[in-house]
Amino acid sequence: MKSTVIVTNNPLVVRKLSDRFEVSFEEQGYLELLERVRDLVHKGAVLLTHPQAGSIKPGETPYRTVMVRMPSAGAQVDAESLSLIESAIATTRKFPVRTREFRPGSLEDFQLVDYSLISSAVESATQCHS
Amino acid sequence: MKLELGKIFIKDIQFAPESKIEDGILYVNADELTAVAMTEEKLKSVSFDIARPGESVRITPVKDVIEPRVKVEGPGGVFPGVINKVTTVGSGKTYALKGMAVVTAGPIVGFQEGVIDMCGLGAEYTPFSKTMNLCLVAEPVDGVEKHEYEEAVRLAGLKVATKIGELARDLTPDEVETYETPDIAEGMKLYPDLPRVAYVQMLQSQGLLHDTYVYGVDAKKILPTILYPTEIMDGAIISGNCVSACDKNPTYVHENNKVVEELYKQHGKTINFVGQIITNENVYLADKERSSNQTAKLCRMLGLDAVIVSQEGFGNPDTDLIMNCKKIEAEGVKTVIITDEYAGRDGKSQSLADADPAADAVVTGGNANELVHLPKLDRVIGTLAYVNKIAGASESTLQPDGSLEVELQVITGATNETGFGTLSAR
Repeated sequence: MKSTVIVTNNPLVVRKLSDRFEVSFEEQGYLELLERVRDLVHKGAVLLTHPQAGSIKPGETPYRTVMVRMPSAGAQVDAESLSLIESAIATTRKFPVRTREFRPGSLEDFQLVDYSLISSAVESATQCHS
Repeated sequence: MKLELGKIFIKDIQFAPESKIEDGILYVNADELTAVAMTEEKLKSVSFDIARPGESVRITPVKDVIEPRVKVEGPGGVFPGVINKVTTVGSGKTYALKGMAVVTAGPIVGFQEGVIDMCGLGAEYTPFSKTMNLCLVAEPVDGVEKHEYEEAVRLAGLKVATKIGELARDLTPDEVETYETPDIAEGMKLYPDLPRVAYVQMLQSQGLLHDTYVYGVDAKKILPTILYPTEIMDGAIISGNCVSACDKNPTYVHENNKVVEELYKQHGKTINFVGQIITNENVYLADKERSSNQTAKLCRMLGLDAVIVSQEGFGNPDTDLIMNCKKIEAEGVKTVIITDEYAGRDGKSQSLADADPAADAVVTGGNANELVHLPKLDRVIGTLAYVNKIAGASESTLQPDGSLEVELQVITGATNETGFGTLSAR
């Protein structure tokens, strides 16, 4: 799992997964997080999880976590990863950001739901190496 | 495999000293049911309430809806692998209490639970305004993790539904419907001239609080497999998720899957309904690839001409839907996909997060972003404390006059992707 990096803006993911994975955390918005992932894809990183959330709209949660495999030297851009992240960014831009509506009570729930998605991927990643 | 489904119509639910069903009225002893639910140690308290169609009642935050059933003949019991032994079900005789439901409520993940209105505009959007609802509101013990709370409410609901189902064991059903699926070899010969059609059902399986269980197994961990469609009528698939209310499949929807019912109606007339393939919707990309590959492979193995594919939820499952569609079509099998739309409040944005030219036959359950204004209702079962937080709601959801301005997303079952909802195109 050495080359696997968890890119996140969710502090709960840092607390829960840092001891087992390299977690790259920045305090930033949902869209900015996706753009950070896109920059990594431009450098050859491969997406291991889908960049879009499930059953929660972009703009509705401030948190997102994506698992990537970091490139080895001289890696080409992975076309599929690029297409996935670009379309996730396009979809996110489509929805209004409701950040001002996020309140402390829901923030914890949003962190938990984002964390539960990535921990499900962690489970898959540790038994599947394709 | 053949199942006789006996329907017992429930006209009313009343609290009474003795639990029984008499003349279509379900009498329940609330203390008895409380004791059943409280076997879940993570629950601090439970309370029961009744909501009838047309009453000025709002139920929220709704977690699951369950139809009580009992297996009276044949192997196994309802909800196999969870409540009863993991015996293969789907044959023999099962009784279902029609016209009623057990509705579980509790703020597990505040923003992901739903609303059921029993009257007014909201009632038109949820199929569960037409059922007599026995509502179970459950509070967790202090310090419990959300997923433990979810599990406790899930199991309490299933136990209570099973207990109620048992009351029907010795009754005579008002109506009986028979469903039968022959084995593959026999099925091939039966209707040689009719197109061979199967149902591909995608199950929500994105991790804790996003789970569906098949014979007690977390669907995240299954490889796509084949079921006799009657198995789900005995509760082989149950909901364990706290995702968006409008397009998740409560257990009730699994027990009463409309795609299955419609395909059975056409079986032997316009199609040969071969069976049901279940697959999952995981977050890990390799899982998505594997599951869609296996689903397409099964379609080929079964020698199908066409499939109906239904999705659950939205967002990255849109990718699973399109992967399934593309790969099944590539095997030469025609697809019709059922989804719903997140097309913005004006309905003008692109509806799905993914698309492909192979997806040229699409049925929609409606636009989950459509804004509706729900009137203030007299009574709330559960609590309104979370209503501003529910997905599809906002700070301004709860209006000063007590009415709600919300997207359809908050209404349980409003844009269901198995055709269970009430929306149609105009």
